[in-house]
Amino acid sequence: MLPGDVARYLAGSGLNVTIGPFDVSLRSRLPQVIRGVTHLYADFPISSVGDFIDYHVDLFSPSPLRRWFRQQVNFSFDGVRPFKPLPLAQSFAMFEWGLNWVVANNAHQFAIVHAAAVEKDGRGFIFPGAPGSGKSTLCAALVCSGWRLLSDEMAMISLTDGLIWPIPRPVSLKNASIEIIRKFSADVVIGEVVADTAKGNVAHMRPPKASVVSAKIPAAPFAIVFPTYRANAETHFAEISKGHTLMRLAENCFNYPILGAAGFNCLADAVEQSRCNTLVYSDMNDAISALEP
Amino acid sequence: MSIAVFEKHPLIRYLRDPGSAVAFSASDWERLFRAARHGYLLSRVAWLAKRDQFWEHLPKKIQFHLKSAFRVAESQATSVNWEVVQIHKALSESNIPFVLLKGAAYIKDQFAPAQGRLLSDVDILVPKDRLTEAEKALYSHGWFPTKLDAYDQRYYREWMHELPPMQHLGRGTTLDVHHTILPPTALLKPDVEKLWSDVCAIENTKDLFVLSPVDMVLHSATHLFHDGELEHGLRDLVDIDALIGQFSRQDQFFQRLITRADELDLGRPLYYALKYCRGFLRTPVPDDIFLRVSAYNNRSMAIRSLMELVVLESIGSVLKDQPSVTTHASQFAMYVRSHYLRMPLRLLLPHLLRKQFISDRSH
Repeated sequence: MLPGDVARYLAGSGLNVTIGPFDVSLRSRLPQVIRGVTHLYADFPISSVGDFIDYHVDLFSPSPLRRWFRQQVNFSFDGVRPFKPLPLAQSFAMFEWGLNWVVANNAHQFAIVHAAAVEKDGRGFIFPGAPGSGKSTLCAALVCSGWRLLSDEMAMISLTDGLIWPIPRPVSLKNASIEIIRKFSADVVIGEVVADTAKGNVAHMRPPKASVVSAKIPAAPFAIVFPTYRANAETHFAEISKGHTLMRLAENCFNYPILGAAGFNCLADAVEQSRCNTLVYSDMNDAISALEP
Repeated sequence: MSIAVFEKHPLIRYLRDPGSAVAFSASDWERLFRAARHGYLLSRVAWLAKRDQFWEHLPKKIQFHLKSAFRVAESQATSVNWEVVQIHKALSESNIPFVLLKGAAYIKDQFAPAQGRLLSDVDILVPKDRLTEAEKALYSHGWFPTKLDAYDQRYYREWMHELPPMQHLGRGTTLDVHHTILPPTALLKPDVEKLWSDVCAIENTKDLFVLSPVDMVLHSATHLFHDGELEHGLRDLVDIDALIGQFSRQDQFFQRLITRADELDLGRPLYYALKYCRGFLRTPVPDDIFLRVSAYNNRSMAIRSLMELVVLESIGSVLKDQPSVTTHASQFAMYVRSHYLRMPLRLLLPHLLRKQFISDRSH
């Protein structure tokens, strides 16, 4: 559980949070970040004193002038700034996007697939998908229906044991999805909506406490499903070939070029042990019952 | 300020004596990772842990990160080797010989700095009278100049020792084509013909070369102290340290190094390289050799102190937990200095002014 005085830690030596397999130290004095973290990371465990911190990140105003004029936010990782600054209103989103980048570029002990991942009854589901395919919306809806959140943005498949290692974090929702999920579940907690980002309107949903608490328990891949949201479509499940699935998984794997043969073997094993499907849907409840094991 | 300020830094302790890491605390590791990521040295750190066989004795989480960094270097080595094959294919069709420089040379021909070496581009040297042909041959194989405006294009062609950087359309890799190792306008005038006369062919090729061992050290030193902005300063020192470690087993290596530095007018960069390799990394350079090379440090006392300050600040910048104002100032000073060494003031001032004010527009 986060301490009461989050802001003091964030402004001082850093708030050290355990996020999946990583301990992340976050520093920031920006109110958007303080509010976002307080609100959406409320259930996350604090790293123990003396633990090795994997990643140090910092969100700050680029220059004193920028605090007053066309306010901006900058992201740094271990003192390096990989991005151009964004408008200040996107501070919390920049933390989320920045952390995605840090993990995708530094955690090559995993094959990191651009996909949502959830688990039920010990079965891991991977939903790879281009932006706009509805994978985050589907993931949010599943998670609100009692499935365990492994990740909404990156499925991390360990090169050592072939399991999906959870990294549950706030689920990113875009544009119409924000209202869809609000209507879908009464007790969902959604953070501030930020308008006009590169991805349109963006908001983050607090991950369920049960998923955060069991973040150290990996899940075996059971199904790889490529979702497509299509308005008014009947829910349609179709089997696809393992070869085709492997190719598409590789295309969606951020660090595939770095992993070489180890990456190929890891993804091939995941495909080998999984059902491979496409899923076209428009009705969320229908889609969820189709996925139930 | 002296080198002593940096001696306690875990990355420096590690580079001098990798085995000392088994006693590192969590916060030592955090400082090491921060500096090593910043300085492009994490993969080297990983490789040293493997070489010295204490990997298994490190905490699990540290092993994870080192394994990850190791994979990055492995994949880069694969892609550099492939890149060299492609460049060779493009240039050999026109019978243009070329020399691999720096990272690509170390990796392709397995010199000591190769292990865990990261690089952002491939550098090659082609004979000046074949430059235009080389450019054409590379165009026809998919390398194109990166987006540069007319000013940059002209700046490179008139005043620099290389073509504007090229990028491969398909693979996105960057290639720097040099025709000498310092710009024609530079104060030091190494004769590139002399480098060509000593190059070594890579196994099974007739037109693909690396520099001779002494020239490889001298080029790395020149690049570091007279051509760059010292942003990868510590990494470059690690390269030179590894090259010296490998070559100093050869007969009369240091004597040949000094004679060659004198021939090529590169005594001063060699002095700086040996001084800071010894200072930061404890590179074993015999005292009598260092004394002889020190004769090239014939600048006034004031210049020497300023240089010391600026070099320590710049190379040491990756070791700082928080960047300071003096770091930025020193990096800027090194940037100005490296340009000053490359071109006379009448060319330099308009160039720096333009870069300072025009580059801001693109933001």
